[in-house]
Amino acid sequence: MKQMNYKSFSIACIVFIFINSFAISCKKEKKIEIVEPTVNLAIDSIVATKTNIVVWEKIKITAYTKGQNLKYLWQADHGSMVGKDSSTVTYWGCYSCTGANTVKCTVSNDYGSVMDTIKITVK
Amino acid sequence: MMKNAVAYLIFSIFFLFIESEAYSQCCSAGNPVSGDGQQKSINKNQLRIYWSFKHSYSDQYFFKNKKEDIPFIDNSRFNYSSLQATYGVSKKWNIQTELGYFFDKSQTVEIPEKYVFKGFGIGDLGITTKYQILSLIKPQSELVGSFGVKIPVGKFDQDMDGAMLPISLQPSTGAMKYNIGLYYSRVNLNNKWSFYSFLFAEYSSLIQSDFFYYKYGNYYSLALFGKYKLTNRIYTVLQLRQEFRDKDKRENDEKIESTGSKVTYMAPQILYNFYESWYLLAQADVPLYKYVNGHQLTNKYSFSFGVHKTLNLHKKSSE
Repeated sequence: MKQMNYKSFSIACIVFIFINSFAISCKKEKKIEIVEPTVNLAIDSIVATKTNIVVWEKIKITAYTKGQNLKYLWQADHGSMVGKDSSTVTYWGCYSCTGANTVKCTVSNDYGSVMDTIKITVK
Repeated sequence: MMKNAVAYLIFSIFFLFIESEAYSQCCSAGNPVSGDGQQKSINKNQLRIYWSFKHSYSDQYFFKNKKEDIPFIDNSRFNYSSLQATYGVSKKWNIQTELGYFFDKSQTVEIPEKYVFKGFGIGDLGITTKYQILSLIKPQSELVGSFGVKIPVGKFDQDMDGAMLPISLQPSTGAMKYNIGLYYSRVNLNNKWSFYSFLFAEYSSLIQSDFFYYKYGNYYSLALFGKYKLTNRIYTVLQLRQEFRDKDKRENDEKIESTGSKVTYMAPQILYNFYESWYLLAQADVPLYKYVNGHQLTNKYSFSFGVHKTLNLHKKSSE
């Protein structure tokens, strides 16, 4: 007998909707609004101890900045970094990170955020 | 017969608890493979809930098929739990959704002091639809086709101490993935044995990021396995599985040398049926043959366990 079983269908829907809604609600993207550099907030330069390194070689990358109460966020398209919330990070690349990699530094305070990048080549 | 059954059980338990050096890119982003692997379809109005937990620990680098010493990385590990629900929309059509959480996806390095990168959070959301292409009563067998997507709903921009975690430690892949599968099962052979097999392929799209270009390699898998009924409540499963993973790509579609692998696994599993249609299961993956491209971190051991129950929403609960 083909009869719509509303109760069973409802229970199944609740389980599916619960799982999927929970998943979708967890997606949060960080949106950083970049502003023009000023005396209150700017990155003067990003300097690395070396820009050509071999796999596993560690280097220091430093951001020279203007501004107060600065927060740093470092990103690399390939490679690993240890930052410890500072203007300097330790960077290295593993075997799957060989090539010309981009390291980005975003600096933020009450005036907004500014960013700059540096290329590090891992061989 | 009983003697063979006991030998089979001992064999399975032995492989269940030995250390496995499961190859693949260790701690690669995205969900570990879950499910009991048999992928048998369920009937209309049935709902199967499956909860599982997987632990993986890795501390060795390999070059192609040989170990090599890299003292720089101490270890890498993850603890992952997932919930999967499958619903029988009709006699032939099932829909499945799965979501998991990484409690700990971390890596310990020496720079030279010890430092632990730690990622955690929701992984990718899996949604799969399965269609029973063929079903026979004698011999009792079925052929099921599937199509699924994995949506990167979890975090892919997790940072720690002001530095973004590497891709491999992010809980989500950051990329849409599409998969197709074909599953064949032949059950109740001699009332003791059942046989299963599957073909599976997964394509990954480009990672959704403004900052970088990265595409995971395609993944292919082929498996054959037998399930043996030891007692009315205990089953053992032994699976042979071949996995292929293509190289990942970066800017200008350049292939990344130290990615991708070919691995043959043996995966023993034990299932225990308790209280009507509840099942407890435990599984390990043991590589028999392995080859990685270039240099890659590989697993030292991994195991998983889980519980599943099939509810008949129309009538009384039954398997």
